[in-house]
Order: sequence, then structure tokens, then C-alpha cells
Amino acid sequence: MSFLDVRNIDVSYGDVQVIFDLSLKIEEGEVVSIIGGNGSGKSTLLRTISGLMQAESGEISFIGKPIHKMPPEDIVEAGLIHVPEGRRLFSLMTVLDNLIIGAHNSRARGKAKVAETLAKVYELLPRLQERQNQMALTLSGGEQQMVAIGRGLMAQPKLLMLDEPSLGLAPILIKSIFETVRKIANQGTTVLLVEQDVKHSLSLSDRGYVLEHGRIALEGPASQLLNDPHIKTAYLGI
Amino acid sequence: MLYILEDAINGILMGSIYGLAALGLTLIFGVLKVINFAHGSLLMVSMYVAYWTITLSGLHPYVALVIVVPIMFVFGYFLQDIVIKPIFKAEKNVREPITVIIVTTGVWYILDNLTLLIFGPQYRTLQDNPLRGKMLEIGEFMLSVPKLWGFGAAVLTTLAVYLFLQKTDTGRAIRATSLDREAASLMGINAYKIYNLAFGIGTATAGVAAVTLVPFNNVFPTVGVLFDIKCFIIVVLGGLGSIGGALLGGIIIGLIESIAPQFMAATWAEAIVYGLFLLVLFVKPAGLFGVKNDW
Repeated sequence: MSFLDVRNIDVSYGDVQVIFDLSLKIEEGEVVSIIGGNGSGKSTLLRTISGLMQAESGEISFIGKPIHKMPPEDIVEAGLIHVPEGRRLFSLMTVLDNLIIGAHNSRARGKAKVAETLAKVYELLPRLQERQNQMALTLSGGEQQMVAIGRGLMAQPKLLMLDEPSLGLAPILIKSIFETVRKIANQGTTVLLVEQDVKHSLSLSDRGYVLEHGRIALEGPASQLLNDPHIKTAYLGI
Repeated sequence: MLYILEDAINGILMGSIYGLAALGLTLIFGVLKVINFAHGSLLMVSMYVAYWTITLSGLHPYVALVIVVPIMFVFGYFLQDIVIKPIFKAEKNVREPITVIIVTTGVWYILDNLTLLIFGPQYRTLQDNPLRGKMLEIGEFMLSVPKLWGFGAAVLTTLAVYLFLQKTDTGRAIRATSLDREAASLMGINAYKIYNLAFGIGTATAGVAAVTLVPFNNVFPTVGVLFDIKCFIIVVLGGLGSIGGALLGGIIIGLIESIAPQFMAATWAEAIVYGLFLLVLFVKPAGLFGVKNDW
């Protein structure tokens, strides 16, 4: 049994089906990328895994437990943490409050535990400590993304799902965000990364899936995908 | 000049009680994003609970708080859990759930008419309570003692709610839910439980307001309607969702109501209140102390 096991799910918005009979597996300790263009169903897939949307058919299990009928808060309790697209920070709360709220679930809660996790997050993202008393909405895009990732780490994830962390950031920031993701993975957290930035995301991943029109078009080891002729022409423009 | 000052002080006292009455409305709106049309009725129910608690037990009105506030918290909590939550779930994907507003209107009618059915239309006045009709004389000033108590209750309750929201884990979860319900659920926060809590707390503050009101205000089935409209104006004036704004909005209304009649026919006071309300809507739609939180 895989760590995360998605089996044959169909997902629709009303009458419009977005994901078709999709299956994927993630093993513990892996870094897996899901790449694809706009509208290919990447975010919908993550929203379905984290319980914000319900699949019409198919099953999802996490560490052997079926989760596809659970509400999002129970999935968080199980250790599957989703850092959503567009960061979705609590804009009128301070950076520190945003981070603390990340540790709301019962595995991460508790004064001592929160302080310990917070120290780790600050070590990984020192910028957040400087900004801890600022309102989240006053931060730059890159800093906001760091808060979003930090908030996800505060939840003590067993599997961290990141939805387009590089979205709308300057190239230099994109590099530092991907370096952060690499560090998180090196510390032993399983990471599911959804990205449009194919080169960066595949080069730090173990495996990858290519999503096209709601279906898996290609899958394999990341190094193999990077050299795939279809990916080269369609996503890397080489 | 002196009597204007006296009126101003009494206006502030009464206004703070208005603010206290409106506190629950602004809290519930801030978190659920729903205008609770039943708020006046919840205040009315609270007043009946307070009236009967004080009458039957013979307690000092403010001692009755320890009974009235928990009862109203539980009432609000389960009103949201049983009556309103199912509608929220059905309207899960609607950004501004209008149906919920209509449901609160239904709750208003049911509560008002149920009270009429059970207790009849007569006005009830709290007899022989230690605060009734008491005046405090400071030099030339005459201040109403029950309203002074009410002022204290209003300030303390507002402060308590504010600190609860700012300093506690649950308060932080309530704020997070009010800012982004979906993101909050990704933090492991059960939004519906937070809604229950916010509704319970909002109703409990109406319970505090009721206790401050019964020593000098009659209790009857439609008493809520009188406060309903005032509460709406106060929370829009102060800024929907702003805790401190409710208190200050209330005091502004109280001041206008007490000072304006010194200079013009008393009916004009009402016109000024509504005029100011419109003006604020034109100039600063988020209210005097509100924050625009849709970015």
C-alpha cells in the first residue's frame, strides 16, 4: 500500500468534468511533481485530495486509510497538508498568528510543540522571523509564499502538497522557493509539488506526472521526463 | 450648559448599552458573513430569560448574569447548529449565502410569535429590583444608576470579547475562519464548529445586554424590533465585524439621541441618526472603524 494512493477518480464542477479516471501513487519520502499547463486539472486534483472537493467516483487513501469522504479538517488531522494556490494567507492577521494557526491540528498543537516547530520554521525561513509582527497583507509576494509554506510546515505534515509555489514570483525568488522545498524534502517530509515551472520542479523531484486535460499523459522518473521529447517541445520550448 | 453635559453623559451611558446590544450582531456578521435578522429577537428572548431569572430567584440583576449568559450561549450555539448550519451546508459553494439571511428572518418571526403565544402581549416590568429608578447625584449631575452599571458591563464585555479573539487559540481560529473559511479548513479548523461558537458568543453578549436593560426597560414580545434597527445602524456605522466599532457606534447614536432634542423637536433626533447613517455609507462604506477585508 502506497503512502498516498489515488485510484480512478473523476471530478467535476457541475456539468463540467475536469479530471478523468485519474490514478497516482506516492511513496513515503518521495518528492513527486505534477506538471501541466493552465486548466489541466492540477489544482482541482489537489483540492480533491485535501477534501475541499469531492470526487464523483474513485478512491483516495492516505497511509492505508480512505480519506475521500472526509472533510478537509479531518484530512489535516491525518497529516496531509495542502498549501493552496495563491497562498490564501489570513490577510489581516500577523505573520506569527498565521504561522501559529497552521499548528491548529491536534498533532501540532500545544505551547511547547508550537514553539519548537516555530523555531525550525524560522531556521528554514529566517525572513519570517524579521516580519513576524507584520500583517500578512503587507508582505511582498515572495514573503507571502514563504509564510504559506511555513504555515504548512507548522502543521507537522507527513505529506506536504504545494500548489504552484512559484506562481507570480520573480526568477530569483522562484529559485529560493525551490531550494526551500528541496530542504523540506531533505528533512524527510514527503512532498507533492504541483507546478508549471517544469524544469525547476522536475529537477528537484524523484518522479513526475504530466497532467493534460485531466488525464495523466506521462509518468516516470523525473530525470527521464526532463529528457522526454514531448516534454521538451511542449513545456520546455527546446 | 451643564444640563447638556448631563445629557451627553447619559447619552454615552445609554449608547454604550446600544453598542453592547449590537456587539453580537457585528460578531456574527464578521464570522458567518450573515446579517442575522433574528438578533433583536435573540435580545428579546434574553430579556425574558433575564426577567424570569431575576423575578423567580430574587437575585441582584447582575448576579443573574451567571445564569442568563450560559443559557443564551447554549441557545445561540444550538440555534446555529440545528437551524442555520444545514442551510449553510446546502449553500456551501455560494459566496454570500442569501438563503441563510432569509432563515434568520424566519427565526425572528417564530421567536417573536412564540413569545407572544406563551407570555402574552403585556408589558412586564422588573419589580423591586435594587437598581430600579435609582439616580446618582454628583454635584449638579443626575446619573441613572442602572445605566452606569450597563456602561460598565458594555465596556467590560467588549473588552473581553476583543481579548478573547486576539489572545486565545479559539479566538485566533475564529478570526482565521472569518478571513478565509476555506483556508481555515486547510488548517484543520472545523468552520461549522466555529460558526456555532461565534453564534453562541454573539447570543451570549445579547444576554449581557438584556441583563443591563431589564432593570429599566419593559419586557414585551416585540421589544427586540426596537433594538433591531438601532443595532443595524450601529454596526454599519462602526464597521461591520468591528468589535470596538460596535461600542463606539452605539455611543454616537446614544449621544445624538440625547443631545439633539435640546436643540430641536425630539423627532428630529431620529432623522439625524438616519442622516448620519446615510452619510457614512456614502463616504466610508466600510464604516467608521471597519476594515475593508476583501482585497
